[in-house]
Amino acid sequence: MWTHALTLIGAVMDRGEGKATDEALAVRARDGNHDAFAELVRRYQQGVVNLAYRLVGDWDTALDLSQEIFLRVYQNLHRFDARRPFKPWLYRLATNYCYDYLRRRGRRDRAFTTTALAPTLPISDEGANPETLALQGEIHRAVEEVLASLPPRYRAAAVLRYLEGLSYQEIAEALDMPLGTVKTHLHRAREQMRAALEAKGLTP
Amino acid sequence: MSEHLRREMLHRYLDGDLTWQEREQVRQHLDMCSTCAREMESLRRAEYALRQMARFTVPREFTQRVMAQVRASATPAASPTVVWAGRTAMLAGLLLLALSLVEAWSSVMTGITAFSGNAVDLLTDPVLLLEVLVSGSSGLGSGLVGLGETAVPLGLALLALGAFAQALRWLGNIAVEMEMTPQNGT
Repeated sequence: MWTHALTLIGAVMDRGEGKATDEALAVRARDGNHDAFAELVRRYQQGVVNLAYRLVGDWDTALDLSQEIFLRVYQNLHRFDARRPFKPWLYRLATNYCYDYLRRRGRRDRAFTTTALAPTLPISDEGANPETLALQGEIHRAVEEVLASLPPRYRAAAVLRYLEGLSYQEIAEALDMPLGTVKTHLHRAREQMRAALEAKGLTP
Repeated sequence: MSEHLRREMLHRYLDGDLTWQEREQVRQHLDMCSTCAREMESLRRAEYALRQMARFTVPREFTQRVMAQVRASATPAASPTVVWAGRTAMLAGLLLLALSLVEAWSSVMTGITAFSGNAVDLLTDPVLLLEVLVSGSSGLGSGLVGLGETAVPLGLALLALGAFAQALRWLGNIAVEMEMTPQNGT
């Protein structure tokens, strides 16, 4: 009973950046609070960099672009409508920035190269036994190949869904496309993945 | 044996995007039809594989680098303190200017009322008219010189300061907008 009351008081009093909603942080950051913005960067840097990497195909470029993206986010906070969710708004700005980059480079439709892999290791180390690791490696490779074969918009939808866990509705907002289109994109990604697994003999 | 399920139904089943009734139909069909059950299983594995998508770790110093750039960029969403300071300065400047105008006007009125002659004489006697005009304008002058000596320059300075702050903000926004060019769609 008392512990409950204390937790409640703690929750009310805790105005630290750690537990605030994205939207509340965005408002504080807009009003000049740098700590609030730093917390937003910490929350979304993995997501934004990984998305940028899948879109541009090069890790260092992805890091540079993401840095610019966060600066743009900061400079555009006054346009953010705090009544709407922050996440799709951020990813919308991020994908548009990457598309712009690809357009500038004139290689939007150029094949994405899987050879330029990120230098750091993926964060997944649950099953440490060699067999599962080998299978994991096989699956990871297949996923990267499938992503590479998809057009940028399909790829962005797949990354937002499977890496960032966005809902279909959030993806629709982030990529500025109808919900039905998001579904078709993701179904196609799933079909390609199925075909890739079949080709590797990883079928039921 | 009913015909096989449409692929779209299999996907929507996985998405949890079916009505209760549709889901029951699919479930019953999968129990009886091994072909569709195998298809569903392969789609499930594809879904599982996609969820294994590798996430790469961002260097530790990334946040610091971003924040250094943020601090260096002069235009956030314009700090509210700056905006309010600018607005207050402009308002104070306007008030001081208005005050000195009132003061000057009252000096003119004092000059005119000091002349105790008939208004008709003013029209007929040019010397008198000249006298009144001179005393009026000297009243105006002394009014401005009096309170205005400090208030007018101060008011003008504050006004300029406020306008400068506002202008900086506009310029900043314009610069951001020109660089930004948001592209929705395409």
